Amino acid sequence: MIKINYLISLIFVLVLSFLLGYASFSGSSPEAYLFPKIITTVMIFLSCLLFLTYFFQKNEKINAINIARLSTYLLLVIFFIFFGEILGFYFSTTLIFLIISFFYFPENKNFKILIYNLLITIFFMLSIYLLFSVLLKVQVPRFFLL
Amino acid sequence: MEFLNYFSNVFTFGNILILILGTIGGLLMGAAPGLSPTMAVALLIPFTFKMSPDQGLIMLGAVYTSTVAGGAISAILLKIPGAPANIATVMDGYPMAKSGRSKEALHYCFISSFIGGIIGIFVLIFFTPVLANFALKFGPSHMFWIAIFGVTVIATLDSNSILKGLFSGAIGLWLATIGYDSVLGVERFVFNPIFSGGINIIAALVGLFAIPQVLSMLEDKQNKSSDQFEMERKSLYQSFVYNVSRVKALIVGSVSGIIIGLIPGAGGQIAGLVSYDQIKKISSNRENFGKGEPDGIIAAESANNAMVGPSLVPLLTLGVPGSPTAAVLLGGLLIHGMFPGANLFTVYAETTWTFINSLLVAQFMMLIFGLYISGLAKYVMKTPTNYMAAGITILAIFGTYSVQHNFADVIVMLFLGVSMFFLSKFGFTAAPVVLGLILGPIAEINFSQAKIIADTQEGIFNYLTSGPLNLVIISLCLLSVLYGVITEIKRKKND
Repeated sequence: MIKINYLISLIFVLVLSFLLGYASFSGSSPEAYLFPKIITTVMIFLSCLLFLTYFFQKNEKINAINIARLSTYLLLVIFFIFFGEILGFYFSTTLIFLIISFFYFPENKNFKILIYNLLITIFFMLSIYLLFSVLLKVQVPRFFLL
Repeated sequence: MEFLNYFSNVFTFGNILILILGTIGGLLMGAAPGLSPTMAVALLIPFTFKMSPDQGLIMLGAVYTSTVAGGAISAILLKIPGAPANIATVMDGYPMAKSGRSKEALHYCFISSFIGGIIGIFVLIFFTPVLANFALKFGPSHMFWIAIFGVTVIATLDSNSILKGLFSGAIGLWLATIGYDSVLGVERFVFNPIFSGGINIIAALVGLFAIPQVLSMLEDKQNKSSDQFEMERKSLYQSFVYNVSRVKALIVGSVSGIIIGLIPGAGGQIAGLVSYDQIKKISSNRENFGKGEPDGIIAAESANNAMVGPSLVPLLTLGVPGSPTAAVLLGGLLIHGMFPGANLFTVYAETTWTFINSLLVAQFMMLIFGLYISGLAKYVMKTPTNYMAAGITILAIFGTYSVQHNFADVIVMLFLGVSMFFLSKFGFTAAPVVLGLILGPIAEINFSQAKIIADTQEGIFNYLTSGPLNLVIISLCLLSVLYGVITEIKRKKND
């Protein structure tokens, strides 16, 4: 399975190189696109070599990815990309901190742990507010009062 | 002795405060397993954006120095190197702690880091202006090849596969072309309006170094922390006298650190391991290594801190970083409008010398605070991974947004970070991508200038490949690639 994943990654790299090469070679201004053309040519050459080496390598060490365990974090990233600006930074990041700290808590989760994590989240977010909004005067997107 | 003229600049209230905060913060970040110096410096760059250039660089320099030393705390107490530079420290540091000598081991770590660090900074002070003046002779073709050399060196040394390292570097170079072409002003690869300004370097730095680390932390089911040792009472004076008497270990460590630091791209991890290996070979207590031999800690720690100063020599003069952290530091220079080269010692002499002098003062701060903070650091090391990961994510989001007040930067940061995590699983590394992104504009501008000159003369190929200096730099590029190929073949044979 890991070996197949590795092959898929190499195919991805190869396709990516050709796509970027296509974008570079179809640019409107030949002068402005000269440097990207050179780079993508190198990328295509390297990705072809990488693809060929796959067939000559015996035991390539590849680390497995635990997607199931990471899915919560990745979903939170997607949530933030789509709703972070609308919901406001303080509101959305408070949710993200609470969910990460609770979901990835090492021991059995219960209501007491949730309250404990909520307190840590409030303390951390207050520190962030003091650092960015009070000290550095950074105006972040807000949602109502948050 | 020009550096002495600017020495008093370090001792203003604001600069000293930043130096202290940077040192303490760096020591604590270094002690936290998973927070490498590169990541710590990358996370801090957004904060320095609003500071004056000298204060920003003082902060980054102090953090760079102290995270390398702080990484030894968890290496000694937990057997987890706080940074790759501290891998060699584990070998004798942990056995010493296990046998009830943890405080003694920490004393050796900070005293030898201090000695190595001071020697390294003096190399930086005396070598840099000489090399910077030499860099004045460089034309567009030389600067183009120097930029390519920087990418090839990091690509070959920071990756297990030369092909993957070079491909990562090429991705970085391509990413740098997104946005407006700097010579003709043509818009390129702006598939979405959020990319019209190009890829923000800070967003890329934070994303590429912080987010993959967070994902790795969360992926690991073992949420630390392990048991720690109680610290014994040990006289600092006794440790100091013993440490200073270990001249051989200090010399081996410092010299290895300086040489490896000067080689672009080599980094602290190699410095620590090489010096450990060398001292083990020449020591009369060879059989004690790996069982708690102080010389092992002294050589490794003096090497990884002696590397810090020299790693900045090629960075400040040529724009070629001596280590991945120095590559990130280059981003810190660029956001303040300072480009590596002779200008740093003429136009920006005051800022540059204040920064270099602050590194010297930072060594003293690191020694003083390091010795006292190592007791406190155990609480940082106990921070569970879930809080650490959540905290780093939020800091990365706010830090990236604060630079340009642009939500698109945050999206780019998260996208690059998650993509890099998946690519890293297949052997691709972040440092070449970052360096490609940073050196890309330098390479392209010089390439364009070279082309303009060459069009009136003998053609671009001849222009780029003629002249002794061009040939030397091209040879260095080829040598670095060849070195990578040989190392990879050797490693595969051993496997």
